[in-house]
Parts: sequence; C-alpha cells; structure tokens
Amino acid sequence: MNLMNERNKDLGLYVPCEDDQEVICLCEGVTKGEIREKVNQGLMTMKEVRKFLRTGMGPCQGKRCRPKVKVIIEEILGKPAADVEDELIRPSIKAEKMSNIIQAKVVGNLDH
Amino acid sequence: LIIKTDIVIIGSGIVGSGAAYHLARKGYDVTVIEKNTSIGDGGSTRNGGGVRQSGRKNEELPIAQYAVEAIWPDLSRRLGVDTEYCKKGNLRLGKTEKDLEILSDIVKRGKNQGLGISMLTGNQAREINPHLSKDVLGASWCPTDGHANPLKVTLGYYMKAKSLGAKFIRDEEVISIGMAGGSVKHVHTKGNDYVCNKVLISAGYDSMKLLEDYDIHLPMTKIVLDVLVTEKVAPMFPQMLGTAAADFYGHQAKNGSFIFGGTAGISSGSFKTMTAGIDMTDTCKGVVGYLPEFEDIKVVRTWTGEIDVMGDHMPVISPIDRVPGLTVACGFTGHGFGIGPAVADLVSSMVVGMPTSLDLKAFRYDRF
Repeated sequence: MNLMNERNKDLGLYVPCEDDQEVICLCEGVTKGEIREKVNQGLMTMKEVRKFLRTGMGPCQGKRCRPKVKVIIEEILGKPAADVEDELIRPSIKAEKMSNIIQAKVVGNLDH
Repeated sequence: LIIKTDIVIIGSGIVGSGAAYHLARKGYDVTVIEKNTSIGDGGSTRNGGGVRQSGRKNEELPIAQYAVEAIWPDLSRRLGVDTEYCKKGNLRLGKTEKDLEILSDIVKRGKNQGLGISMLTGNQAREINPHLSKDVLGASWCPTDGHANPLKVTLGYYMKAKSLGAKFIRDEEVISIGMAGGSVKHVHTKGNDYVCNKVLISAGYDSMKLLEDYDIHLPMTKIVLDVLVTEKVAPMFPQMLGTAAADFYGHQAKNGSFIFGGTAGISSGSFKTMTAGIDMTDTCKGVVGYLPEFEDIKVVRTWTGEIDVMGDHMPVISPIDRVPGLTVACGFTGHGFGIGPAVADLVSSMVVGMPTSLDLKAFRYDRF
C-alpha cells in the first residue's frame, strides 16, 4: 500500500483540543479546530483542505497559512513533513479590476 | 496484492464519490480508486456551480428535473455539509436578434417538456436583476434553476461515503478491467488486483481508454475551460446568469465572491481549446458587457479545468452489455455538475442491476 492509501485508516472521532480556536487562515477566518475536524473526516491533502475550508483562498492566497495547515495535517496523519505533498503555489497576482484587465493595462502601481 | 471488494468505482468525482455514498449506504463494500492524490480534483471541483434545467437537451432534461425536484433540496442535510444550494432562478441573456432566437428556442423546448420557463423582455429581466445593462434585449427565465458550491458537494459526498465505510484509494491508476466466468471480476492497477463483482467507470475523459480493450470506442474529446473568482462584494443578485452567445456564465457565491466562467464569444466565437491565460480577458469583456458595474470589481484568481466532451454533447450512462457487471457514466460535456447528484443516485441502482427511477436508454454507449 502506498502512502496515500495508508490514509484510509480510521482516524477515529475528532477529539477537541485547547487551542482549537486559534485562527490559522486570517483571510477566510478558518480555525485550527475546523481544520483538525475535517482532516479527521477525510480531507487529507492541502488541496482538499483548501477546497473545502477555503484556507489560502483569500487575498494572501495562502502565503500566511500554508505552512501551518501542512503541520496540522502532518500532526494528525502522523507523517513527517516531507510526506504531506506541497500545495500548488499560486501565482502572486494582485487582485485587479475587470476594466483594467480588459484594457490590458495592468502594469502595477495602480491605485488600489 | 489481491484485494477483495463488492464494487469498484473508478474515479472520485461527483458521480464516483456520489455513487460510493449511495452504495455504502445500502451496505455494499465499495472501493473507489482515484489516480490523483486529491479526491474529486477534475471538473467536479473546478466547474462554475450551475444547477440548471433550462437549455438542456430534451433527453437530459428529465434528469435535471429529477435532480432539482428530488435530490438537491435535501442534499445538504443528507451529507451534513452546507452545499450552498440556491434555487433563485436562471436568466439567460440576449443582446441581439440572433440571441433572442436562440433563447426562444430554449423556452419553446423547455415548455414542450413541462419545464416552467418563460421569455422576458429586457425590462422584465432588469426587474428581476436591476444590475443588467440596457443592452440586454431579452432573456429566458427559469425560476427553479440555481447554483451550488461544487467543492462542498463533491468533497461532501466523499466524506459522507467514507464515514459510511467506503474505501478511497488515491494515487493508483487503473490499467485494465478483467472478466472471469462471463462477467466483470478484476480491476488491475500497477500494484494491485481488485477482485470484485461490479465495476463503475466514472473517470471523465479517461473512461474512454478503459473501454477500448473491449472494442468500445466512445467519441470523446477534452477541452480546457477557465473560471475566475472576484473579490467579495455585498450581495447583488441571487440568480445564475448565462448568455445566448455563451460569452460568460456565473453567479455570486455565498461568501460574496462572484464565480464567472467562459472564455468564448468575443474574440473566438466559440470555446477555445486552451486557456486564455490568467486574466481571462474575454470573460471579463463578456461580464462587463451585460453587467457594467463589474468594471470596478476585482478579479482575485482564475483556474482551469478539463471537460470531457461526448460527440453528441450528451453523457453515456449505461451498462456495458458485453461485460456484465460493468457500468459507465462519463462524457458530461461541461454540464454535469447540476445533474451529478441525480446521476450518482441513478447509476448506483444501475451498477447493482436494480431498475432506475428514470429511463436512461437515451444515454446508452452503443447509440453512436
């Protein structure tokens, strides 16, 4: 059985922890407890956690929370850091007005 | 390794994970095999979230109606997740006389099959959605259409199926499907032989090559489409929007972001086969052409997804006669999400040889 399939093992019911209220993704307001609970229910990759809980989908695109989310997954799955795959690092594009995109004048230093 | 299981499902998208949920619920030992590391990482979590009956082909409309009437209203409760299902209607917009002809045809076909759909003037459409441009000359209006969150639905099916005992194998690609004693018996991956009694192929475009061993050649192609997401803004309108010219579609998600898909229309006249790049200029042009206020709304991110296009733009949902015990569901051609939960429900009966609550003969694999 390869690594990912070991993840089929039953992790049991999620047991609440003292620091569950800590906010991990500031942009989307996702707490440590929410992430832990969903990992226990089967979200076992960075991508799955991101898609379901929106960690890393806000304005910073995961720059703050990505390493923290990874550690939380590793702690629950009992894997060393290298075993939880790296999340795709998204291009650091800046939020841009549709009108600017249409005019194709996106040159940076715009007023926003 | 030799692994015994009742049913193997190949592909963990909305149909595969959804069927796993239904079958696990009925007590079957189900194993879902996914070639990717993450569950449901294809079109099932990359689409624009439309839950639409209007504009469907005549054959497909009954599945969409069944989805909207029987499955979607109760899905959040069943899965224990907020699917963000919003049943506030679909406006399909037109700006030219040619657009209005397309819309009239959609309305006529829907009405003929008992769908509640009507043709609106531009002003009537603006009464429903005051943000629409004065350039909008008319629209079709189906008040029972809507939208939902594909990420919550697909991963919700997965987590619920898992909690009911379905097994999910990741990072394993199915190489072939074998028979023994006149029916399906083996699913071979690189390292394992899954010995089973029933198999469902729900692997999108990749479904095609698994059938070729049995001399079945589905007329499928795949194309890449783009979706963009905007910054969060205050609630503007709850409807799903589309256009006769297919130059954009989209809605406002529950968190305030707008999700817009497309790339077609203005520059190319038809869907392109490659992504237009991270800015999605064509789709922005499309959006602003119908919703002028969006000029000042910011795009935060874009992504792409592949769709599996069947030759006649209808899926194949069918048992395979020459391989008893084998069922296939693929080729949803970019409009599979809205009917996905209904297909998962129907195909879970088909897989175990039970009658389906809708006649699915129109979706047989040998119709080509």
